[in-house]
Order: sequence, then structure tokens, then C-alpha cells
Amino acid sequence: MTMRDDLRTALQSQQSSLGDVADARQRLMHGAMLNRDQPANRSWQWAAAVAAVLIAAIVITTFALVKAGGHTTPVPAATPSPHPQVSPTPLSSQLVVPPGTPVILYHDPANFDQVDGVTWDGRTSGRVGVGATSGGNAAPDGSHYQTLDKAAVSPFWADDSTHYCAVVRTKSRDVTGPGMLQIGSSGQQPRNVAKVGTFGAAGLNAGGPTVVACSPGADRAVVYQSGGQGIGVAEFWVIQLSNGRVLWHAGRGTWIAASHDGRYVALADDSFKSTVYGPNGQVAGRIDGTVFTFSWDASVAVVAPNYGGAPSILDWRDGQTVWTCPKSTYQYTQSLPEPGGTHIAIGAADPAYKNTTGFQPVDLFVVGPDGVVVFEKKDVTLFGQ
Amino acid sequence: MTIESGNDRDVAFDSLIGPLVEPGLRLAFSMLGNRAEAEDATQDAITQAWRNLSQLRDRSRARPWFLSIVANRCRNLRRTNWFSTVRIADVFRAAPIADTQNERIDLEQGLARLPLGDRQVLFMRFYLDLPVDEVAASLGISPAAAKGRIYRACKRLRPSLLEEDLT
Repeated sequence: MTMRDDLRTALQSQQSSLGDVADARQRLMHGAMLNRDQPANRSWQWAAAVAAVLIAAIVITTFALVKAGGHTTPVPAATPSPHPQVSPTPLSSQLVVPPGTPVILYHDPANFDQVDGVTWDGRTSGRVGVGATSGGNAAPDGSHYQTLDKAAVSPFWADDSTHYCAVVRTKSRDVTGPGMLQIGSSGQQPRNVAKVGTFGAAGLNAGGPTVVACSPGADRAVVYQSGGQGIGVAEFWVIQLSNGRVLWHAGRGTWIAASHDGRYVALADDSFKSTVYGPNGQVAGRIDGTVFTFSWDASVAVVAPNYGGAPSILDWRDGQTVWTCPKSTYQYTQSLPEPGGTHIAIGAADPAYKNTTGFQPVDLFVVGPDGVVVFEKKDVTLFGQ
Repeated sequence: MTIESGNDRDVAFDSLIGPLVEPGLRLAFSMLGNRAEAEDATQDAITQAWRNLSQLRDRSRARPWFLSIVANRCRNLRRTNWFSTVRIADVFRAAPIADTQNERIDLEQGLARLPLGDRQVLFMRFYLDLPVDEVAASLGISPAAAKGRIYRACKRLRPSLLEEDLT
């Protein structure tokens, strides 16, 4: 075989992993045509800059005229009020942020297949990628995401947004067998950490072990064994990733949540009260409600009476409420902490929102440590993060 | 070419660029190695082609013109984009590689390590089978320079390669 033949074979093999492209022409042409009449990035920025200068000139001129006329018009104090943002057409410009900037990912309101991102201050947003029709999951900082249509397993992203943990079966799906906790990163073979929990035979739908925290930096993962039919928490383990040692374990509850580094674990019970365990398994606090997410520094937590209740943010050590959902009819759906920061993003569903995609649209509230909403996005579907 | 208006322009654009979408997507995939990013780059390229259609004076040169837009989008994406789609499942599914496949795998891995420009010329020449002058037009260089680029890209893959091996 000549080099030409070898190259053809290699290129063909490479292209075979692209998969079926039969619908690409129609889909991509349609997507491109949706964006065609939107101004290109730079001209839009120029137009915005010119408009800003004109507005500033008008304001200054008006102010000078008013002053010259000797009138003093009382101006109401400006109250910073976050405005809901709605995107009527798919975002066409690429999200460009400095590497390492965390973003929140969501489905574009006008094109569900498209993933958009917004920075945690709400100031910069743009298109990140496509292929999100079947959902997916994303690294905590939003820098990588995995679409679920091709996934054999759904790994849990580590808090460094590079590694991931997963518990995989060690035996065939047809029989009951122990799970194996693994840690890996994209493009590398995963490493076995420890045998943990039990997978039931697939036909029995008996649940199995699931990761709720994975932190190479803190050298910890938190894994829980669900109860029958995958409901509730039968037992959970805090495991050292470097050597597979179980640091401590406890059990039985209705819902489990852990801080990103696995140092704090909250377990809710049947009466919708949560016990918060500290780094060594000691009880660090008890609060009313179910804990769903800890802030990155674990000082506050997103709490709701149960899944689907109205969420709030509590300082779990003293029970102080930091933020309450503005409408008590809203239902908790999803939340995530700002990686390395102090904000929390909460998705709460307005019961009036229609779920037409199989994923629940929510109002997204990004809340600062002082309980002030930094920005809000209405009727948006968050991408799994 | 004549630029039609309204619906006519849509139809003309579709008949001109539509058949090039799949080659464009495949070129983007060969450069980026990721379907989601490749689709992104191709879709952006279609939008850009629509906006800049007046720059295409010779309809018969649509293929190298459009592929050059796709290649530019891929380069921009690599420069500005730190987001990516990963297929973690593939890692978990990874099976041991049989010895007989090793040489092909080496070549595939070598391709993946090449600079984007090299991947572009090899793909256009050996997968799309574009004549050298179209590869050259797409790169905005002379056919002789394009030939040189193709040879150098191959040489990077197989240092022992002789020029006649490519003919």
C-alpha cells in the first residue's frame, strides 16, 4: 500500500467516528439561516458603541440645558434591579471568556439543541455548542460538557472540571455484583479506586451506587447506595481517591447532597430534616428541610422542604435564611455552586411553565453571598451541570 | 455570479452551498476531532458564506471558497474556545487494540497530532480528492506551494516518505 492509500484508510477510519451525517445539510443550513440576519459580532459592537456615545451626548446636553435654566429636577434614586433576560432568537455569537472563567450552561430558549453559556455575573453570554437535544452533563465550571445520546455511563464531574468519577459494574448486567469506583479524565483510561456498593441485576431495577462528590484536590469521593428501585439512600461512603480507603460512612435517608470537595455531607430523613456531617463524619448541624447543594465554601446551602418545594438559601450552621424564593409556588428543580466563588445558581420552576422538551424550564436565580440576586433568567432550561 | 433577492437568493444559496455542507462538516471534523465543534464551525461557516456571498465572483470556485471559510472557522474556534464536548463514554468503552491494527492506529494518532493546517490539506487532497489547484485556492496559495504543503504534511507523518510515494 502506498502512503496515499494508507492516508485514505486512516482518514476514512477517522471519519467513521463522525457517525451519521444524513441530516447534517438540512439541520446546519436551517441553523445557519436562523442566524444569518443577526449582525456579526464586530459590527454589533460598533453599533452599540456609537449608540452609547449618542445617548451619553443627549444626556449631557439635556443635563446642561436643565442646569442653565435654573431648574433642579429631583431624580429618583436608581435602584439596582436585576432584569429578567429573554433571548428571542438563538444566540449566534460564540461565548468568548478568558480561559478558566466559570459559566452556567443552559439550552438556548429559541433552539433547544444549542448550549449557551452565561458568566456568573450575568454580563457575558454566548453560544457554546450544539447537540444538547437529549440533555447531558457538564463540568462544574461549564468548560466541558457531555451530551448523553452517546453515553454508556453518566460520570460525575470532579470539582476540578477535568477529572470525573463513576461507579461501574464489575459483573454482567444480568447478575448482582459490586460496583467499582473509578476516577479518570477525558482521553485517559480510568483508574480503579475501590469496590463500593452493589448493583442489582438490571432486570430488577434495584438501583446501585452513585457518586455525589468527586474531588482529586481534597482526595475524596462520596458515593451512596440507593435503596430499592433506586429511591432514597441506603448507605453512603466517603472514600479516599488515592488509596480507596473508606474514611467514614453512615446511612439511611431520603436524599443526600455533598459539598464539592466531599468534606460536608447532608442527609435528609423521612421528616424532611437534614443532618450535616463534617469532614470526619461528626454531626456538624441539623436543619429543617432537604439540603440540595452547598456553596463552594460550604458556608450556606440550598434547602427546600422537599424536591419540588420552594427553595431558599440557609446558613446551615446558625439556621439564618440568606435568600428566599420570591414566589412560594415555585418548585425547586436544580442548583449549583459557583466554582471557586461565592454565588449559587438556583433553578426554580414556575408551575405555569410548559415542559415541551422533556426538561423542566425554570427561572434561574443567581444569588450572591449577601442574598442579593445578581441576575435572573426567566423560563430557561439549565443544561445538566 | 448574479445575486438574487429574497426567496430566489435562498434557493440559489441552498443549491450552491447545500451540497458542500457535508464535505465542510467532514473537513471540520478532521481538523477539530469533535462532532459538536465541527457542526458549530460548519454552521458558522454557512452563515458567513451567506453574508459574504457577494465576494464569490465565480460560482465554479464555490467549493474551495466555502471550505476555506470552514477551515478559518475551525482555526478561530481553536483559538478562542476553551469549551469542548467530551465523550467520556468512549473512555469507558475503550477496548484493547489488536496488533494488526497498530499501524493504522499510529497513522490516525499521527494525523490527530498534526497542526490544523496540515490536517486541512491532507483531508482535502486525500479524502475529498480535490485537485491540487482547488486545495491551493482554498488555502490562498499557488498550486506549487500547495503541493509542497501536502508533501511536508505527509513527511511529518512518515519521515521516511519519498515524494514519489504520493504520486
